[in-house]
Amino acid sequence: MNPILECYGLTKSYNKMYNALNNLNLTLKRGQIIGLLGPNGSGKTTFIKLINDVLVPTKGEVRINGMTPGVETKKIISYLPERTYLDETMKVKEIITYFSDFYDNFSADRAYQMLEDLQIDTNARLKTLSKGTKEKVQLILVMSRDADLYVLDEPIGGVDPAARDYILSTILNNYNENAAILISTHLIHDIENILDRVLFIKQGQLVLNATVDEIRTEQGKSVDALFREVFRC
Amino acid sequence: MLTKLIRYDMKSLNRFLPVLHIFVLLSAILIRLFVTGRINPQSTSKQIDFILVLFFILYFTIVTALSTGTYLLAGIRFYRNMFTDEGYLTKTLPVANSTHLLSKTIAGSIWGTINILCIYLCTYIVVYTPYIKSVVADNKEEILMEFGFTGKYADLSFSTVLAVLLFFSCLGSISSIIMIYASVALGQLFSSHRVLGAVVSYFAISTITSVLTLAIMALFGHETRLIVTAGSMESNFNFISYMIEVMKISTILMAVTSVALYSMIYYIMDKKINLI
Repeated sequence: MNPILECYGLTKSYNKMYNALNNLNLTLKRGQIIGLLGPNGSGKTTFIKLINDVLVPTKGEVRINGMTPGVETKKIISYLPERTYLDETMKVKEIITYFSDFYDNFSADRAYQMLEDLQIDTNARLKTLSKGTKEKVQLILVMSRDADLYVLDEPIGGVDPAARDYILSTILNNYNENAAILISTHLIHDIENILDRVLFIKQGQLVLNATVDEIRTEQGKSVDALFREVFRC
Repeated sequence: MLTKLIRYDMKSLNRFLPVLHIFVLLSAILIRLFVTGRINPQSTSKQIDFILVLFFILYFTIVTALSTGTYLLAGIRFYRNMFTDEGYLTKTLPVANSTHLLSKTIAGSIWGTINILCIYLCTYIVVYTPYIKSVVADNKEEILMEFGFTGKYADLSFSTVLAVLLFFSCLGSISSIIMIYASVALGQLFSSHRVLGAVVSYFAISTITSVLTLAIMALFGHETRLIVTAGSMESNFNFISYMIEVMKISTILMAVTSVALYSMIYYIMDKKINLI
């Protein structure tokens, strides 16, 4: 089976002086939850945007299931950006219809079930919902797809701790061994227990690519502790 | 996918544009009922002339605002849906950039055409009063002669003229929409102040196309002909013939410019867009 994600010399410059991502080489297999970790401005979001074809690489290439980003890769990637990307004038149920219209692998039933669990009114317009509730709606939409690669940029940053638990269990419940989940977050302690692998990114370069078990057994530390050590200011 | 995209684009534009057009249509009906329809042709009052001029200025302002509003809203939809936060969803739908662009061009052009049809209808309502109608009926031959419907143009039917006008108007709508989208796309190439960049780009594109049009018209000797004719009252000048020549050149220019700008937008969307 193809690796779900491959990067070869992936570089992104926003100007001539600064590379947000610098010669990144990486291969990720399916069946794992991967934490993409690094301080602010390390290149995490740039990397995620390149995977999702919302940025064009300056050099190198990224491949998803052996394909360069395009229509076919968008069918198998479910992406949660760090911002509200929905038309706020739409009702929640209209957004469900929108996703059903465009994604063949979207399960409206699953989405409605999760909305009910979180007591979110499907007749409410998005602009009337709180920031946290909007984030929950977005995560529900993303996790209601049967994707091969879930890319979640700060999925739990804006929600309360109670909802965090629900979101993390949602991520675990909806993911299967043929898929992979790439999660970018600062809240390492909260997600450490669900991660299989971590990638540390520093100044646009990969400084660590290891399984959580390797970190615990070989270094005798939690991921959170190692992160604090590697990125100490 | 294209049909679905058009449906959502139309739905978004339909939020404001029907209301705007109904408002203008009602304004035209009111102006006809209370102003132009009540004008007494025998009256020589300067006060009535003044009111009439005032209402025509008002009507012209409303119609200009309607057109500007229509194209502006289509441009805003394109900008918001493709290049702001919403772009993160739009760009990650399993749809090719070319399909996105086509959908938005079709939706914008549909509303551009509705806008022009609405303006024609409103102008008809405001201007074509029973008095004007009787004047036209009484002096039909003279008016047709004056406009140049003579010789090979004598048999042109009203429906043919209307069809040509509609075709030209539709092409104009598509061309205007593409020009606005091109400005928005060019604005995205600026590292900051992208909306301002889009506005500057719009004026730059408008200026360049206007200068090009003038130059090509002059090359074919059409731009100066009307002025020369007006000055010397050239006896063989035919308004319709002149307009047909101008429309032919304009159509070719609009088509060429639109294809070039459309290709440029596609290139920018496909190769240069960085959502930040």
